[in-house]
Amino acid sequence: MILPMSYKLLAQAEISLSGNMQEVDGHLDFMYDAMQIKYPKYYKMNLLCKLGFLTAEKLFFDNPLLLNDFPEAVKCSTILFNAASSATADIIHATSVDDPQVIPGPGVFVYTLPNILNGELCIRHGWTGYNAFFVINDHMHKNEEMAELLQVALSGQEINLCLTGWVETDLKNELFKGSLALIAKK
Amino acid sequence: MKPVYCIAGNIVNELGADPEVHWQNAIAGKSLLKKTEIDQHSHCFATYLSPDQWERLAQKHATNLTKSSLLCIESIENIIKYHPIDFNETSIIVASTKGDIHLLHGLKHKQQDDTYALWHLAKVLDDTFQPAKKTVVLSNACISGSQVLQLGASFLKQHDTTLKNVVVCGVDLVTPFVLKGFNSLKALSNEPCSPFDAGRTGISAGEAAASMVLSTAPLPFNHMETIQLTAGYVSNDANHISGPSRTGEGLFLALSAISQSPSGFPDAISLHGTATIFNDEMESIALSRHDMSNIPAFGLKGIYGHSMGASGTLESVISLYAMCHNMVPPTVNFTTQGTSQPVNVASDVRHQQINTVFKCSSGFGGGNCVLAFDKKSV
Repeated sequence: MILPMSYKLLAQAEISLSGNMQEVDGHLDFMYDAMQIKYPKYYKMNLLCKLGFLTAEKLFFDNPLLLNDFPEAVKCSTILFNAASSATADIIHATSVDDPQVIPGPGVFVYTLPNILNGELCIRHGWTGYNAFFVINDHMHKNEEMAELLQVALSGQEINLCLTGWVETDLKNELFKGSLALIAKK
Repeated sequence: MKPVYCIAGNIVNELGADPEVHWQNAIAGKSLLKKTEIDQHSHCFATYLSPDQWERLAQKHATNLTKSSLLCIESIENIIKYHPIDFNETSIIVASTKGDIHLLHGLKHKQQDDTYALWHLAKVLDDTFQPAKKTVVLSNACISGSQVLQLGASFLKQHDTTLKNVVVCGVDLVTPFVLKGFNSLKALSNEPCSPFDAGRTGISAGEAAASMVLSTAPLPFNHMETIQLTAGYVSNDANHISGPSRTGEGLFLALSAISQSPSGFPDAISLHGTATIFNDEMESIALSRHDMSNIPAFGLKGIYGHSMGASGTLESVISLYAMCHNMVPPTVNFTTQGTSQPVNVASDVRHQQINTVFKCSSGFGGGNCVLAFDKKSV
């Protein structure tokens, strides 16, 4: 990733999967079991949140003492990006909305916002800091665009610690990628 | 740090695109909410454009544009008509939760084009206005429209920037996707929504775009008073994905941060006031924890409904009119105090000096945003 000025990289993690929604969902559940996480809320999440949640779990699993040196860890911020927004929940909700025989369920609808992932990460880790979800199209200079947006978003208020990255559920190409980095002010 | 000024703003919905008309309507306390079918068995209240109004917008701009694009273009074009800005030194940021989601056809999504995507809306605005930077969409639930103003100010404060203006545009539509969704959460009121009232039972929906031009030039807002966006702060409750914190923790934290900014204490507060039991109660608690219960406050959703990603920008535009005219707008449909802590909202207009306004927003995902606007004598 392109690091913003005056920030250093603490750790990063990536999960990259391909397949249809059911296959990828099964694969993520398998990873959840393998990491031996006890977090029942996980099973309520949509694919986007499962993917982002597990990428973050992987980051901290590999670096368990990472936040010990940060007394202000509770103010950690989350700044996330993708192109598909909350597509995995959107198509399920849209399908039930279009069908007069079906009553849409609240459990799907609440996940039709991409920033619910920020919310899930904040709940999991007790973070009360800045949070933002940007939707940008997936293009050649995507990394530069993300870096610039990140730099600007980080300057809006005091942010010493930030989990940031790309969490995408590309349904057309059946590609699912979570790529997160934890950065801290130098 | 360079100061950032709010030099222009407007609102586009069924009432049209003239911000003066919107202000007159707001102080007259006229609700725009009308009864709307959700399905055969249930109804709610909402504000939305009529088919004729959509047809006229399509004829005026282009018939192949999506509804969200039409609202944004109508809003931005109406601003630049009265406040010419050079897009070579201007960028655009969009705030939206669902954009043109009505164009998504569920399981057929693999065969359809991308016109429903939020980034597609950004692309249309780039093609139309050719701004200095690529347009970006912030999709942070119902705080998007406020948060995007903080972000716009940050763009202008970057020390190496050649940008002089940022146009911030919030937009969301009233669609079956959203109505049936909120209905499934039992969040919609079957009466016009009544923020902070004892009888409130939930939200009304709103369809709108609202734009604000932020600038490094100290020009008066809509040719009236010079107003600075002094501070903005975003926090998270870390509590629940679809309900606010019972203690108002996130909003309390954001208010704490803003109270320590040069703005200090507000003369009036523009509240989120969705008219759900929990949101309004949460706001009353957060204000009380800051000894702000007595500060004149107002909520605008009894007029406009909840326009989600647009609401923060929309309510900021009305808040700036309130500052220019030194009038606190009425909280429409409010009659009886209905929160555990007092909130100083009223059903009538109040005349008083307003030099500083705080704008509060809260949303799904646990986000909270507070902005501070200050009048400056230049």
